[in-house]
Amino acid sequence: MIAAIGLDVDPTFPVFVAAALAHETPVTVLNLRAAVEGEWRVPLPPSEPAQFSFGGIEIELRPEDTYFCRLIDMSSQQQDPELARRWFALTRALGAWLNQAPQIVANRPHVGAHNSAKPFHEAILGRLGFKVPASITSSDPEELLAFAREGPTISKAVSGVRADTEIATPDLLGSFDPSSGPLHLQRRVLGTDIRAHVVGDRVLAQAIASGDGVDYRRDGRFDELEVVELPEQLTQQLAAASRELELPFAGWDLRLDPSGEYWCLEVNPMPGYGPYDSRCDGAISALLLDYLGGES
Amino acid sequence: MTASGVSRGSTPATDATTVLVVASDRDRVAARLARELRARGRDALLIDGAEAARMFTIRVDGASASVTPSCPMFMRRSAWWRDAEPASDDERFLTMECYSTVWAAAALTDAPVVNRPGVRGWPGRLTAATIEHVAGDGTHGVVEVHASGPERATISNGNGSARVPWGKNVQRGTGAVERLPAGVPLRARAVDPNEAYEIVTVVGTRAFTATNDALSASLDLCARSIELAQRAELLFATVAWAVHGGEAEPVRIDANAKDKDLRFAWPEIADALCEELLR
Repeated sequence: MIAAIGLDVDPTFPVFVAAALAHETPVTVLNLRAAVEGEWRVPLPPSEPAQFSFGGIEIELRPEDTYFCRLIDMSSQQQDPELARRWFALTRALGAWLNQAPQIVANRPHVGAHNSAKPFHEAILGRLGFKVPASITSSDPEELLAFAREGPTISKAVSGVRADTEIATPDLLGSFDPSSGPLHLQRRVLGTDIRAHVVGDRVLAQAIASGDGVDYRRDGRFDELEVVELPEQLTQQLAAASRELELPFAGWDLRLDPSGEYWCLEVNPMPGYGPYDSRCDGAISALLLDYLGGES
Repeated sequence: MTASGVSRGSTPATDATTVLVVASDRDRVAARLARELRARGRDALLIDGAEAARMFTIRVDGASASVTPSCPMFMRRSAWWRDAEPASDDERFLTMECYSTVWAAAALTDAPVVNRPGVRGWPGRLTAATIEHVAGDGTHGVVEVHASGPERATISNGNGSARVPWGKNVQRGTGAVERLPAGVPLRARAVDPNEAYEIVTVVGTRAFTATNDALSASLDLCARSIELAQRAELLFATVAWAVHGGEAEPVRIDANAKDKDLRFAWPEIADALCEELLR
């Protein structure tokens, strides 16, 4: 049995649940927003089921299940401190459970967390053999300016917090105040954006011409995505790297430059894959269901 | 200068010989260690997370990374203690940016780091079940239960032994599960009320017990603690052992050891920490 753990208000979680229903795949759904209002018992190590009770419903997560999880702690969003503590306790318990669950978990909490420390993340990708654009992270205006003067540059968040990627020019950096740092600058690579979702050993890639924009997602251009075949060597590299990073499910952001070189921008450990799934007739969800159901 | 006698400033000047103690100035372990370093003739700069983040320049190009300044670092979670929640989303964002920068700098620097954050982030605290998982010793059945309240925290007492469910709830209440307030989430394990505790501090390949109990030596707690810390990828940690019936089981590993747990062997621990940082 597949169990799905997540939030009903998260745009991605319902995509997976709806796909399971459409495929008539039995799935146990644990909606965290409901569970946090109820009762739970999570034994560790997970040698017996974890039990949840809310709204007259009883749910068991079993050690023999496989898991699709998007574990999101909403404690910081709560006005009520008691409810905030319940969120913290519930997600901590489930995090420990999922980290120790014996079967496949896509993905275990905190695996791939280095995506939230971009310089570290980029170094890891480089060590895995990917070509990664050079970057600098600093609060030193002179260092930042010197980097920006060497070539086209973008700025993006150091952390995993969702923030807009922007073009960074020497002119813009001239007014940088170190107290608002650090800044993460990266060399800008032009070309074609590729999102490759890896599920187990299977890779499904979609491409979109980047154009002059910095981020096609922000520009609302998802409808231009097309499924593409990647070179076999790159496909194998993505699958091997996902394995190495302990990510059964990964969303790789790549860019193909005009000279035919593939650059790796990042790998998302909890991909918001809904917009991509809907542009390939649910193929990503289907891969996930096959994988978690033991059919690939 | 702070009350700890350690220099501190918003734009500190450093070179590679300065040891960065990345911590709150209310962190007594950090302050004591900074004094020990200074007593050994080294500059020790006690700075919080945001100050540390703004010191570093990290360059990544392909597989190579460089961090300047390349200073030894003593890392404490207290670096992120704050008196109030961030006042705005911008402030929260900046805090996250600083946190991530220090994480990356400490992970990538060639200089010695105690404790170096890894791919999953900053080291924290491991409880009994997680220790068992890290040790690869998951054959003993349920050792810990996380529950929405005492009413759901049922846990076996170990085949009729004298153990009773003992819990710690999210309001920091500790005690027999049946006496903890209903409806307050907690973590519980079965505890022998007569068990004793030993705390072993690990620094690299050295370990120091808090007591002189001969049982700690006969149970080989120092070597076992070193092995556990290594499995948890911690250079510096305290390992708390519950000792009962002539056996010992690890019940907590803390990568941010508290002053009260270190004081019994502080001179030896300080020597070992300074040695690790000044390699």
